[in-house]
Amino acid sequence: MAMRCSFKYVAALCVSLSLPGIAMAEFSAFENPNIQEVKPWDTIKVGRVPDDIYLRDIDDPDDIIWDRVPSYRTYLSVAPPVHPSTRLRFDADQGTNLYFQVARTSDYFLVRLRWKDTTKNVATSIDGFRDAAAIQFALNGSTDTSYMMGSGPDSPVNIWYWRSDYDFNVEDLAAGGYGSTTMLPDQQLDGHAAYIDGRAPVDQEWHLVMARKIGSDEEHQIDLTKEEIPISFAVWQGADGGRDGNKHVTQGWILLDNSQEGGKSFDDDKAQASTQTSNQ
Amino acid sequence: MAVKRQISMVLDLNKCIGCQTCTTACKLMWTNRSGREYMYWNNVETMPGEGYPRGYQKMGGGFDKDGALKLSKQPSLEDYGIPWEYNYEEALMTGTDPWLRPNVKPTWGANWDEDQGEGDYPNSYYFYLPRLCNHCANPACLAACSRNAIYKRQEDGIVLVDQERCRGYRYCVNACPYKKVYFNEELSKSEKCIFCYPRIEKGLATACARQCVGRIRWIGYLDDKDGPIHTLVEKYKVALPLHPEWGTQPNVFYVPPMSSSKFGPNGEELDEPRIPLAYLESLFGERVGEVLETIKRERKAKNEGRESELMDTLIGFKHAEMFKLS
Ligand code: SF4
Ligand code: SF4
Repeated sequence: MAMRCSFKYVAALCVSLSLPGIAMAEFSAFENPNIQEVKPWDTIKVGRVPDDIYLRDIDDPDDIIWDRVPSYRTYLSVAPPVHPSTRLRFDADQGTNLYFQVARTSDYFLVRLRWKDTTKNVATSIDGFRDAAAIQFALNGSTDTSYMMGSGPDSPVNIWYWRSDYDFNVEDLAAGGYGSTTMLPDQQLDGHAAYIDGRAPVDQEWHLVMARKIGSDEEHQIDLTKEEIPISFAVWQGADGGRDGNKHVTQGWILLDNSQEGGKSFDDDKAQASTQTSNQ
Repeated sequence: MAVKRQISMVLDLNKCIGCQTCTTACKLMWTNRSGREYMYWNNVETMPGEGYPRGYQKMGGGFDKDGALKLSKQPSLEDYGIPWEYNYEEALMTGTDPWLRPNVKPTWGANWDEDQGEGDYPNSYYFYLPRLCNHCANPACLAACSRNAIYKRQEDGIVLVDQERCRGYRYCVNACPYKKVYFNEELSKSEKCIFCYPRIEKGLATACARQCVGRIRWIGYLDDKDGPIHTLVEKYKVALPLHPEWGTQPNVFYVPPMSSSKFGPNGEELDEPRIPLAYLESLFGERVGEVLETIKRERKAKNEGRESELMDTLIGFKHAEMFKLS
């Protein structure tokens, strides 16, 4: 407990020291020190929403429940180009931070993403590109699967793709290598996003929740009852012409510990998360 | 990209009257609906001019000398021209609006600079350039697609966008230096000239060619020694691709335009064509001069009552001879 207090104290100090500089500084450098950093190959615990908590909308991006689920920060770097068209548009310096939370109820599996974006791009027009984000799961549960869209038809990935330009805006996809992204016949996802239009650029961000019922026996949908699930993320910046491989991605898998032993509460999870995760 | 056979079109710019019948035929058949309103798979532009989309020749795309794709500007809807409709109902039927007017204020359109051309009287000049997808042998659109959604048919070399595979990335729109792939906002997919393949498969010419008032268009297979394309492109070598330096190897070819001579300060005819040779070379490459000489020579022969296979072909007496689709 003493450790956590001192951590909070340092955190508060950092915030007060760094805040005045934010408006001036390159804001992508802003990192909330209260939120723990996660790197590829780290393991984090899936939060558990107790059954007695009622969620009015399963995919409300700003449900107050999220204040009680541990939040993580991970760095997304520009995806290495794998096609001449992405190589032409490659700008290695453009990484970004993604904040994410993962939780489950007894029926649903929920992922919440937040990222900074000073430009809200919600149209796909002749020369305009939309903001978008995706969550990727290794279907066979193995980290041998390439985190870059899977490794062929035998090691595919399941992708939950959110696009800002449609009302029915989440797509359940599968891929087994570059250029093989395919819409699944059975679309089971819920998803909802909100653009937070803060006063200062540093406050402007997307909040997104994607959710799916835990039970699914579709071949290319992730089995959410597995104890360990490799997950990774991607964000597309519409203002930068983001689409396809022109995106920011996790360079590896983050491992979700989805085991349910003991029916722990959030506070247990939080305490665990802050001690368990290693920064390799 | 080797295909079994390549279908091809030749257009004689000496005969185009800029009537836009081809444009209309294409539009009515393919692009007057469902998010395609702004698209002209076939358009006819006045040269010298901005072209369609506006300034496309300076946007980039195509390949560099080493065969690598080049980046281009992504044209905007304004560059193409925002499509408009008229209030026919209100102005002409119900009388509720005293003016017949477009529903948007037009500021640019596909043929906005029609007949402007260049030069000062009496040496002003222009000609018409009908443009469609070139169904290139080395299509930049195809090379740019990371989804392999663009393919070139083995049986006729027609370049198509597979609508099932396309995810609307618009790399093709960017990569085509002729800007002949278009993004459909309603469907979020890219679309382009399909060389009227359902007609071709029935042995019919494309709508633009069949409807052409000036009878300026020939269609056939490049390798068919008895067909008009072979006669014009290979035998007499009078048909040239537009902007060969962009590296896509077009299969649409143009017979460059002759022009009357320039006038000197005292109204005397000069030994210099009205359309500068250098300008034509900037469009069709360095062989233009040679081609114009061939046409001059053959015209003279015909004029003097001698035989000219080339002129007989270019006159286009019968559709059956202009379109050879087997
Ligand atoms: S003209 Fe453009 S769209 Fe047509 S095949 Fe060539 S590169 Fe592709
Ligand atoms: S229909 Fe023929 S003559 Fe008329 S504009 Fe088109 S190509 Fe030219």
